[in-house]
Amino acid sequence: MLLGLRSQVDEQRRDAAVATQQYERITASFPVTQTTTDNLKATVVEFTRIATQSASPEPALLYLSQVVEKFPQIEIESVQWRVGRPEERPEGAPNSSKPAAAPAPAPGDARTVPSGETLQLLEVTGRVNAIKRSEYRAITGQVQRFAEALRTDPAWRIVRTQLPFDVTSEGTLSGDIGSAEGSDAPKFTITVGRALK
Amino acid sequence: MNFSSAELKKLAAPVAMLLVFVALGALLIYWVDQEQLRAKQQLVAARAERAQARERLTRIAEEEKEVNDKLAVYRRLKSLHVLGEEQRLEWADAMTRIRTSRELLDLRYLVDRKRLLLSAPGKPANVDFYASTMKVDIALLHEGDLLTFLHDLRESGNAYYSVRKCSISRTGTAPTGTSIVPRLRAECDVDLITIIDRAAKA
Repeated sequence: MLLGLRSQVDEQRRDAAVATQQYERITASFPVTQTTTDNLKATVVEFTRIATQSASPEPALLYLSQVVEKFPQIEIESVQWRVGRPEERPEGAPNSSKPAAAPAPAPGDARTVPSGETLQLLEVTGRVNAIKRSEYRAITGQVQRFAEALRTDPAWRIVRTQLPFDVTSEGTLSGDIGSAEGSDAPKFTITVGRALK
Repeated sequence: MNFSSAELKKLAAPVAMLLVFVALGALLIYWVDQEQLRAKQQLVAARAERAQARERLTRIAEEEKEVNDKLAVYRRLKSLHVLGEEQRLEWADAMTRIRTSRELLDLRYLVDRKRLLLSAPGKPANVDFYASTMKVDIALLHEGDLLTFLHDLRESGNAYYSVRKCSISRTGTAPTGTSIVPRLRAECDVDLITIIDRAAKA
């Protein structure tokens, strides 16, 4: 009994010594760093966090270009890509102080984007050409099809759509049937967003 | 049963020996008990020592792996001069180089004063992340010019380039037959991020 206990003690001590030797060998082979382990970790962890909160506009612009190609009647006037929250207005954006005159939001807008989530946002402003200005149904339909096409990739969600005509009951619907068609084609704005990776 | 004095004399020596052996036996039992107790205590201590050594070994192996993984990123940041002081002259050189090599029609930029983005706690000193926002205004013949510009900018190093905003609009300038006129104009805000590790050896 006593001898058995002593042999167990020796065995445990041998194992501890082997582990200690291994520990010392590994420590000795540690790479030489130019900073402390704590700062090394802090630098890389924070940098990785910043990098994952960043995005580049190239994939979004290429995606838009592929969609636009399928809609020859749509002429893009401006594109704005940014990283931010959908509720934030981009710097330099027109302040819509006249809500009655603003184009109407489209029915079925994806208002499911959680508030406060940082997204990469793509705001596309354009016009529908080759359709008479008076054909508001055709123009509205074309814009809605374009907006749907921007959702081909399910990662992109529609954040906001402003149709060329205000067709909501809250807005003012006006017409000028019979006037010349020379004025500019009506403008629309679609904002799509996707989560940062 | 009565013993005579002669008989008692004869028994005295064996009885004394018996008492001595009993005492020795008791002592031996006591000693063995004590040794067993000590051995049990040593075993508990040896087990704890072994567990501690094993745990330390496991931890150091994990730590080594973590240090090795992070060190590769750290060295890359150092080689790209993302780690270190801002290299504003290098940034200016890079912009000139990109404009010339890509034959961009017009490229204007303005780099704001650097600001502290965040300070990560470290030992013995913090790691500070700085950002300087560069506003770029580029005349484009087509959208591809912007994409190549951003690609070249990233490749130029000397900072981590985080694009915050980019807008593209038509210039409205009608093309003439004699000269190349930009069809589009892009305006971008790019954060040029640099890191100062205050514990880093020179």
